[in-house]
Amino acid sequence: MAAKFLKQEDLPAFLAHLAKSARVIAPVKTDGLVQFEPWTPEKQVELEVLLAKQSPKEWVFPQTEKYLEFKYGKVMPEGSGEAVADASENAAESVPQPTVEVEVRNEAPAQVIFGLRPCDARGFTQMDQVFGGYGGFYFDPFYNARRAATTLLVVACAEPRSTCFCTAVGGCPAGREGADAIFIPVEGGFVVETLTEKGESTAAFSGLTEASEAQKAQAADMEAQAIGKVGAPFTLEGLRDHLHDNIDDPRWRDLCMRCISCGTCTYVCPSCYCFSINDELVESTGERYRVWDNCFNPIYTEETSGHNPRAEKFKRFRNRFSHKFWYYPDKYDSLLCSGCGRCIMHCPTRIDIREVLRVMGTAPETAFSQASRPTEAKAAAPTQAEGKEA
Amino acid sequence: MSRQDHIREFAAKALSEGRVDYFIGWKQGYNSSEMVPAFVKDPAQVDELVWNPLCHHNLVTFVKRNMPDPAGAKIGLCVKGCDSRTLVALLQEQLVDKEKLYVVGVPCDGIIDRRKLEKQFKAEIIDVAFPDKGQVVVTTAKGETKEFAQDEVLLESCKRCRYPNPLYADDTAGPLVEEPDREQAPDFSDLAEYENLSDEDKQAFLERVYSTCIRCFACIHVCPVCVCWDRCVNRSRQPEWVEQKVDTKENLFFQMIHMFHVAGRCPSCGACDRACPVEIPLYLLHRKMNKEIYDMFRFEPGVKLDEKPVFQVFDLNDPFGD
Repeated sequence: MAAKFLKQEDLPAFLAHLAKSARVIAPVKTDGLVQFEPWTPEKQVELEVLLAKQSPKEWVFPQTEKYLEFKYGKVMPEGSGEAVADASENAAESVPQPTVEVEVRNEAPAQVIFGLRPCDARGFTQMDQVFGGYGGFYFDPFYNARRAATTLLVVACAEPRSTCFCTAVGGCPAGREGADAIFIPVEGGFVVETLTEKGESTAAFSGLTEASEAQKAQAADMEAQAIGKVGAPFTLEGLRDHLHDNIDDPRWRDLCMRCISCGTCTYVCPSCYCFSINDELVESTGERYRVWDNCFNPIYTEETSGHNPRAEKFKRFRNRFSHKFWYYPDKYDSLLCSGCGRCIMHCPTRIDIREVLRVMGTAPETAFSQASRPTEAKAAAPTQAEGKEA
Repeated sequence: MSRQDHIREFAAKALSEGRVDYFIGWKQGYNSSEMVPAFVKDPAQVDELVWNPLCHHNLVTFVKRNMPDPAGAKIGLCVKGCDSRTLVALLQEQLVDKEKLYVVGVPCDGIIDRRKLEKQFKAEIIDVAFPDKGQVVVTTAKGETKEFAQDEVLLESCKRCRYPNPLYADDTAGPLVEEPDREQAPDFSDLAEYENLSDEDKQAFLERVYSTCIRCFACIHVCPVCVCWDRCVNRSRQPEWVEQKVDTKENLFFQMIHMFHVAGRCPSCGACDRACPVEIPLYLLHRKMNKEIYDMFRFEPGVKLDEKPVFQVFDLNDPFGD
């Protein structure tokens, strides 16, 4: 594939070119905080800070998404006259019938996300499984409309952070998965490779030149070096089975001790996708929207009966990792983690997913000696008791 | 003997004597610039406990309702001066059982605002060292090194601290630090900038800073005196006091509820502010509430064990306010 070159100083012109035909979303710094936001010419794209606080997930799967508007009314049965607005009519032979008008909202403007990282793009491909009808499951028209209207222009990572672990989950600091084009930083600019038709047409910018052999070699070199900078903190081999076999393992309780059960890790995650649905009704007019929810929310699994199968913190904690590395892969043939490390960086108590997987990815007797941990047996007792009740 | 050594010794003793089931202190996180809460069960593991000016976590969070595991566990924990005030606030309301706790007080010279350090660099911070008292040396992944005076990079809450020594403790890790002059009224001059804004500008400021809220609820979960947990009004669906929708108005409303619910119990320890992943200056409003309460009632939250929280007392002589 022919690689192109974009000069660093031409980046604003390139973004302006993109903005002619689509909304451009890029990492920009506001009040010291780097977030993906709609780009305008006065905003400078921030690529030196490796990861924006949150992944660009929000722009395809918004945190709050109104998708229905509805209005209740009353209509008189046929032959008895006009529709009436209030319910005060109560004649026996002409009882008004309730009606509801529903309007679906599904807005999916064309957009280009520039400056996301390979892990962010991979987060989208992982979420695609659950919203895209994989394995005969539900096809979500809202997510897919936005996804189809979105082009992902990925910037490769020359300097991964110490919290990055993309290579441990099958990714790469210059990974192409999910990307429509990849921009590899080299001296004075980027080597640009288009990977899909969408990427080809989006990146058709007159300011691009053919990349020289030296620039291509530099890009390949950067890629190789970046891979070497990402650690291999745990192994996927056997992990799924260990998570399955360790479900009642007391080590879960130890690992989650410092968890405060907030939702930060899930909301900064590029692939966590849980949401809840709400209706807001004011008099007879309402809207239905979905908002992100998370498995650490104490009422996330609470049933109408009052029973909560995950009432204790350790069960919610265990779920997040088991979901990403055990039951999601079982169901959708894909991991649900791309190794960006945002959950480690932003957790209020810096819980380290790598440590959790390293510990829980081993059989109990090899990780810690049970005998050396006298209180563990005590902690294990309630789990077994609950198991019996269930 | 350093404070860290004292902490380890107290922890080892309490664990081996069976006085506690586990001991909560601080340890190093994923690198030497991050300290995290440590839960030690085995006296042989006390060497992982550390004490340095990065130990910002208020460990009282882990003794509040629903946190101890197993429920009713006997817990040892370290508290700094500000942390001890949140513990006193819980004890005043009998929300924790004193008999189940073993408290090691840690006199404190001030905690570093790691976010302030982060803003100084684009690269990742991988080490923060303290070669001499009051000296902070920061190293980044790119090999840059920069030195700061500890006083320059303190948390806002530490700059005007009135209680650097713990107000409640069973044992104290080393000598007390010098007490500030408490004859003087608390210094709230840091609020002047906010207070001097016009009403419109205040509104605009709050809307701007709260617009980034993602409703992860880290602020309320980490808050040691916020104890409703799974019964929080912000999560209630029926009735739906606060919309689940994430927008500036609802975010602000939710934070106002938090502020009023902890008023008179919150000593503005700043745990919420530090936990917020999107860096909302939550500390500001809680501190403002502290000032209002002081000005009206001459009350400082979490100071005296036998005192009742100000909003649990009805006094005919209470002022009406403006």
